Amino acid sequence: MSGVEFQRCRDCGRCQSYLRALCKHCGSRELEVVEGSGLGTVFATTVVHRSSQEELAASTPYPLTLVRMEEGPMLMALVLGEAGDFPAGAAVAVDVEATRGRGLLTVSRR
Amino acid sequence: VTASLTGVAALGADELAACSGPVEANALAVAAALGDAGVERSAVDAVLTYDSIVAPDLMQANRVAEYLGLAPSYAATVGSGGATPAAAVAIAIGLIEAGLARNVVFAHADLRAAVKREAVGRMAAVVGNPEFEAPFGPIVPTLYSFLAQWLIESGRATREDLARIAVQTRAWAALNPAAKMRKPLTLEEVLDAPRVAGPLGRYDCCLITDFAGALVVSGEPDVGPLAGGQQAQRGGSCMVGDRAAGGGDAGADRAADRGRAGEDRAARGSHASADRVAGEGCVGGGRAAEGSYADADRAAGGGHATADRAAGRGRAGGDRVAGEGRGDAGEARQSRAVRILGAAGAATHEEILQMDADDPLAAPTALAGELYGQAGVTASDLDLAYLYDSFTVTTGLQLLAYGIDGGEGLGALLADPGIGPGGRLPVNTHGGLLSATTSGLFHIVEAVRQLRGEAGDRQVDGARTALVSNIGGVFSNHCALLLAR
Repeated sequence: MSGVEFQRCRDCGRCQSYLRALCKHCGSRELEVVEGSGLGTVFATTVVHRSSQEELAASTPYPLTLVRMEEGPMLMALVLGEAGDFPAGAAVAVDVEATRGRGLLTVSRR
Repeated sequence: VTASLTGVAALGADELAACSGPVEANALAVAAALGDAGVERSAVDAVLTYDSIVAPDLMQANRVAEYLGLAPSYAATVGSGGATPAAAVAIAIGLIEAGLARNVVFAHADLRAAVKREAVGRMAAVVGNPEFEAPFGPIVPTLYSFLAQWLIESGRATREDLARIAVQTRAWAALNPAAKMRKPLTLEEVLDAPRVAGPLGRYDCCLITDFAGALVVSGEPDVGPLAGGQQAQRGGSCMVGDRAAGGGDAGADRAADRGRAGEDRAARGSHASADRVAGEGCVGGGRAAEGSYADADRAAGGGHATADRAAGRGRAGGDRVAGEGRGDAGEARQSRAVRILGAAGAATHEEILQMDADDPLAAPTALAGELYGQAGVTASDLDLAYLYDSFTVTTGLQLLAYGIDGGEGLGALLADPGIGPGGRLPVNTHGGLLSATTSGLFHIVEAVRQLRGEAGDRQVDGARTALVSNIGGVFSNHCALLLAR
């Protein structure tokens, strides 16, 4: 129960995010929504010093990461911890509780 | 490519300050560029512009043409973000080679400084996915800082390398009276500046300035009339024929087309021998002659002529003599025209989440190979490079993708003076987006001025070959040109 959803193509089997009317890999319209494992690895983690979101501006500086999910698509997420704890290649998992609490996808190290 | 850059213009600060708005600024830039090119108003067949961010217009190019009293066949506003100026040149080449236009003018002007905050906000909103990115609060520097962090953590760059790009770019700007920021920067100033996103600080980010500039792309007949036979030999009509043949292979997919094009380009890139030219007939001959024309220029200038190049010089020498014999008004234009040896693009994604995370350098690296192949050059042949520098990391990534580091890495390349005055390869000699002006149009304008020898205190002696890149989005839309004189 990661709560992370992707679209999977019934023809080529690959996943995509955001929702589209057709598969970006093969063009098929045979798509289904699937729940992902919630597992992935870090592409890179940065620190936001200036935020475009008013609700988050008070929290600056805050770490922000790009995660390559097991299913293929990449997702942006907040992290539980410091930026330095989330180097490129680090294995992470969606933290369902933290995500629910903040209303934004959040990951922790696994 | 059979088109040339025949005119460029950049409005000065006083002229800009007096402009009523972006349309007027665009119009004045177009007028100045046409004057620079010596192209008559009636000979302008297409007006291209890039819409204003602060005063969007449904049909801006039309409005600019109307302001000037021009009645071109085509007026179109191009929108590829930061890649737009180079993309517009590629479109202009297409219009010219298809015979749909003789001269194409492109202008980019905006008055952003006064409404800096809103303009930045609007740009930030445009680049982030509203559901999967924007709620996390990224601004454009945040998105590029992911790439900076990736570059650093993957061992391809250090924080200091990126800072040196800001320092060395500023050193060029100090030599350019038109640059916005001219006070030299120290490495410490860049490293100690307030952070904006991840490793990127204030001086790693481009300026937001007012600007207006334009360029003119012309077909060869308008650059200097050629006799019909010569024109055919130089590749004009042959190339069109070749493309028609390519397009006529019904059902051939894009990959196959690219494969064929790659073979053609490889042939040109390898300085095709005389038998090969003879064997391939009209198309091969035209292209080989065109490729060696540039090679010969360089061989003559640099004195490193190989046997192939020497042969090329002989052919090109013939062209030149013929050209000089024309003795009409076209001659002056011919002598200032900058040839476009290649153009290549790669529009891989829009939002950073859709980027090729396996290797963000893959697309621009492939593009570089395609571009160098078209022009028959390698990175070591470049005399100048104008790399889009929305952020220091944008330039750092490209120094690798275009092979400018010669495989030695950024640390070796950027050791002072690096890419600054007196360095291994002059990059962004006008001061780029980091220190001079906000649009990538001025990367092209500066390349043309340098190649013409009109760059004043910052003139790079004997520069004959220049690479120019423009980028839109988050390393999303790459468009590059190879220019020579």
